[in-house]
Amino acid sequence: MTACKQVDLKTLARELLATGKVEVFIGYQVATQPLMAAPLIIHTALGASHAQQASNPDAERDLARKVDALIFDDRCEMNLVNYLHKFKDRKVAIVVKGCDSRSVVGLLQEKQVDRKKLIIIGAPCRGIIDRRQAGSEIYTACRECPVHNPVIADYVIGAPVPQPETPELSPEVEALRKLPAEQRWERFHKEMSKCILCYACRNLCPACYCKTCFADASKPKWVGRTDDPSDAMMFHLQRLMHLGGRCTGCGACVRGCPMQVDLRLYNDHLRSHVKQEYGFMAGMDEVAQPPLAMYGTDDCNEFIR
Amino acid sequence: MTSQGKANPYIPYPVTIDRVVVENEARDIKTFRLVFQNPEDRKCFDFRVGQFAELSLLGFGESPIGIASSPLDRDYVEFTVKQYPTGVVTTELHNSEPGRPMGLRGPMGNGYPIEKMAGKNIVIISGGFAVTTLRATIRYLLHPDIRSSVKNITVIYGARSPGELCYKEEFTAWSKRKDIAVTLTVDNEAAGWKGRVGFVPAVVADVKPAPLDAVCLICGPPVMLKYTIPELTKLGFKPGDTYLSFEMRMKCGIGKCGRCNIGPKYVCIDGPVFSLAEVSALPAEY
Amino acid sequence: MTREIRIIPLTEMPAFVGALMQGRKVLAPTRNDDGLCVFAWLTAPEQADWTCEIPRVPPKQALLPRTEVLFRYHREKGKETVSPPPPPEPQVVLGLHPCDVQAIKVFDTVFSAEPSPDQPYLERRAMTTLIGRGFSEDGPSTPERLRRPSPLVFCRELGIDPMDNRDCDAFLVPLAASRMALEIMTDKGTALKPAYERFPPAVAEDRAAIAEARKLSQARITPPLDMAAIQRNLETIFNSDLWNRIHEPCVGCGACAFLCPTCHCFDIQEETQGLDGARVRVWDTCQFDLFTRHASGHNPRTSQKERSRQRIMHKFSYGVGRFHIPFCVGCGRCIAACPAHNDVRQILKEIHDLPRKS
Repeated sequence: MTACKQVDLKTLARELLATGKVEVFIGYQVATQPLMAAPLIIHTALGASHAQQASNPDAERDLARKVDALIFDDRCEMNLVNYLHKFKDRKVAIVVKGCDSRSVVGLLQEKQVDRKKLIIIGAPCRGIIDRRQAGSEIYTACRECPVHNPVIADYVIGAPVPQPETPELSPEVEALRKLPAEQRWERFHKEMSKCILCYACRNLCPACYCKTCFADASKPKWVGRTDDPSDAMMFHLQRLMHLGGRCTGCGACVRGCPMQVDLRLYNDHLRSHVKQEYGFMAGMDEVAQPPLAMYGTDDCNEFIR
Repeated sequence: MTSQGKANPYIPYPVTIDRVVVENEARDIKTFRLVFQNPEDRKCFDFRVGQFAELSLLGFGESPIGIASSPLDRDYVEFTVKQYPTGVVTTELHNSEPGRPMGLRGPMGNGYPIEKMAGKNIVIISGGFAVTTLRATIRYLLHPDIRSSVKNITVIYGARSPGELCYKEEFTAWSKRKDIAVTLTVDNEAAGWKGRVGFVPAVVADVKPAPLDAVCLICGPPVMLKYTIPELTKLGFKPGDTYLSFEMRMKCGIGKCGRCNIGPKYVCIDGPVFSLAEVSALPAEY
Repeated sequence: MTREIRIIPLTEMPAFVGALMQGRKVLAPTRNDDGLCVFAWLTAPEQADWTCEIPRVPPKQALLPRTEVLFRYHREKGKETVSPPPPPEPQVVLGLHPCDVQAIKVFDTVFSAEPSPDQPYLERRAMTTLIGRGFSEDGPSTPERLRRPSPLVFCRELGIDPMDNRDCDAFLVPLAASRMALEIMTDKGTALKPAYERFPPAVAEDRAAIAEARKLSQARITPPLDMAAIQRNLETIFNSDLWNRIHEPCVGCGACAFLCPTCHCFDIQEETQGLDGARVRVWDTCQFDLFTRHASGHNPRTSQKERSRQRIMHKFSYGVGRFHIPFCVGCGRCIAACPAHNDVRQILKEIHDLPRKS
């Protein structure tokens, strides 16, 4: 991360919105449930110019109230980068943790966001409290996170946090890889049997932005929607393949799954393969080319040469 | 099977494609004549004009389509279907030939207000391939047993080009009759076309169907409706006497699956036919 | 009307559940391998878990399975045969929270509605026995005592009493000294006699304890939500700015709808293998773009705004207008499941508090 200005979240939000530098501010607020934060999307008054808004005391009060509700702490689990797709043509400021910042980089690589219209507010983060565990345990994805400090930011809120050593390969993935094929299949089958095909994983994923997802295609129909595990398997296998070299491991899909399907295991597995085969980590370098999205005349495989 | 079909609303009547007619030059609109494999099912399939049915192709799915034949065409039912590139059922149907068995579920929906139409002047306005259930209505009204139950029948029907007019022979024959006034129009001049040229709203303004003691049925693409309805209002047609028919994505067709509502109304059971007065009370979510 | 009451020690519950499982499928709250409470079909009586209050997965799968074969078929050139599915087997849904019972009432209302009652649903419903279970923070304080109600449950605000045994065939009330009272209310309940007859009838003291628990529970019902006001307001705000805000955090997944005990919208799909196949109905939701998209590509609900509005409107306006019953029972599952932490209670409050237009 290049050195950039350390600022106060609310002061910055107030300024960015008041000066019209951004039209939309995407951050967090306290959720209605304990140990949780919900997204808070603040607009300058819709359709109104900056000057008009200043003359409207109601809108001004509403805006001030919302800015005051902004928080950032170890409850802020959602990857807000997913919301950038909703505001493509707008000037947006967004709060990102280290993991989330990699999603922004991914979207910049894939030319899905206009850097000129985006203000990135980095939030150094020691890990998010796993609300499924009682106590103060952080999520597994956070324990193994290699980027506690954002890789890209225009401003940062708070001082950089120390980056603990992380394992090259998640112990669970390592264990999974050692299993014989039948047992791996059995595990996959069991994991996928929990899935109810609500598509929360897909819809929460910043890298899942296809206009028409293969899962929604009718001709051909790639996946059914029955409770036969083969449907969930087909959906997740295809989605996994689509995310190969693109998944940053932010864990949004895992945390958002209402059925606690352990997608992390398979995403990590896939990511570690990409790292081994191509030496590539998704979402680290704005100008890097994702290996499965590029083509070289010197490719080692004959079929593509 | 027949009794099962009645008990379980999801099991279609077995029917066979008897005839396929290509309706337009683009060849993406075809009329399918279906005959019931069990003749007694035709009696159970007791419908009125303006109703629709689910066409069922085992292995492909179902598609809700308005009934294009008259209830008095006792031996068969007809459906005119447009094929869409992403439509699984419509594409398979268009690839089907006479003799193919398929299924039919229905009849569904409310249909046109036949009781209210009795003794009235009838004005029918349509554009493009949306004419299907209105063709059924014209066929029905022109039946010798029925014709005397209504007064004048005025029909205005338009399409982009002469080649896109559906049921061409029938409409040509109707234009020559004395007991129905048919105006056919196409959007642009075309070689060999001797009829009117102009958009439906303009033709309506020109023909000036009389609103007095009349019921108007109108069915067409959204842009036609948008500009025709103000013309009808100008002519003096009352919202309560003007009827539209809606299309929606549907699955069950019987008010259970929850997808075809416009506000509180289900198109499948409360519609597909609504008066303009009813429509104005609904949110514009269609 | 309660016909009789039997007393079952908690230690004997597996024996009771085992007896219910004789010749019947039993759906009950259990914990899955992740420790998550879900309604699931029991394969052993011990799986029924009495510490679950509102299992994440609702009991609706008993009546509207995630995948239901409407009929099977076989295709050959020029010939097709269709066969209806086998008749449904007898089944028991055990341990229903009264709000889940209310949700089944919603199902019954919708699926039995004219002009086309849903015969596959009604057949399955006829084979289903409902055994509810009371929940109260005033219950006896034994180790097995009912856990405090989840802070997300707001059924009382919708006027649903968590001790209400109406619309059940039988109902379980936890009692002191690690016991359950089994109230029998209907013929279907009485038909369970072989499963409960070996347990002793309640004595006067037990009856008094049950009555007391009910009284305390009823006293806690002070519905602060004026559902009529919410419905009235909804009728006037279809084009309100409110929907611009409400939909914004929503990511458009189906978690809320699939885990909602009252959401019943479905899709009909084909499952084929070679020449054989089945037409099946599967859960669907108004939150998906595909739900209303025409084959032509036209979609009357183009964005999440329209789809979020539809969900609230269907639950609190359209459903009430047509069937006189809200399509929400306050179980709180959608709040717990929402990955964006949307809270329907907040949305309702906002709608409720809208300034009345004169």
